[in-house]
Amino acid sequence: MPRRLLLVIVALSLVGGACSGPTSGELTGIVYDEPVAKPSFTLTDLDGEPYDFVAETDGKLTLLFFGYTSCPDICPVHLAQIAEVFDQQPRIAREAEVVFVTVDPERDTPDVMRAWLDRFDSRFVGLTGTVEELDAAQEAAGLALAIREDGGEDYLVGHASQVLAFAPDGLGYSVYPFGTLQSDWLNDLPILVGLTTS
Amino acid sequence: MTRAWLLLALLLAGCVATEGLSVAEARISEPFANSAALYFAATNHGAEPDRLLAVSADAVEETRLHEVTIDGNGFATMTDADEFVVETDADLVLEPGSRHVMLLGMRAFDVGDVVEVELVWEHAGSMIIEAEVVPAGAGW
Repeated sequence: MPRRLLLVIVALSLVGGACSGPTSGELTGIVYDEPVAKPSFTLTDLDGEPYDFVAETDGKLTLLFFGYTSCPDICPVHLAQIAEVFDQQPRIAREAEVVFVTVDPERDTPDVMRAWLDRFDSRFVGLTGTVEELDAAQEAAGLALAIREDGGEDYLVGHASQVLAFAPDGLGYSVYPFGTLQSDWLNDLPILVGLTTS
Repeated sequence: MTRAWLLLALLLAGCVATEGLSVAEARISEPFANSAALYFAATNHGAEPDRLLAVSADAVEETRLHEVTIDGNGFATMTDADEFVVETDADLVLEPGSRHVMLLGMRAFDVGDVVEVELVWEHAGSMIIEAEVVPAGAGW
């Protein structure tokens, strides 16, 4: 039996009979050995309101990604792919929350972030905060901290490039690195959205 | 006559070639905040390696060659490069997650627009390519 399939079965068995919905199928993302808890942090949404990540995403399929809007390469690919799944599968879009956290709060003002996210899907949530708050959120998510590179006004930012996925039961089962294919998202999101505690 | 057909075929394929070097699949991600990424695939059929030294376009104030590396933990780092090398009988592929030409100070363009871009190679010299503007994140 492929190791990845075994891991998925182990993961699914951990939530056991509490699951409902379509839980069959193999996840194509990188599957954790054991499901992980959602990271706990509170940042600021684009309306300036506090956003408690655990509370706001409770019961939803949640995709968490740290990036920046001047990122020409990796960030747009992830968000365009997820937006494409939303277009194709409205049910998933209704039950999901995509949370994009900036690692470049200096340039990523709320207006800039909203305009950028709207290019992909106006339902995507944008979060910002102080550098300290953003660092704490990345640490809580188990990610290496973003670093600002040299480069003057048009500086670059190194950052974690994977999307973290959490099922509606509040647990993370899989991670999506850069290079994830559209077909991977189309396969995995319907599986994850079925992992509920109801 | 044969040459004319060959030229026509190359143009239809979106491929531009000079002696020993051809470039295809040129595309620009939809600009945001006046910046965008240019991608293409170059193939070197020449007798020696070639180097991409400079990129320019009327629509762009500044260009930079960027290399992207992603480590085992998924941490992505982008760095400036002085040149991109294409070895003999090899491809140089610019695509998300590997390398791109960053276009800064770019005029607003809509998806579907075509932008003329000049590539300057050490041996192949100047080459004008046409790059279509595609939606951000498209084509992966």
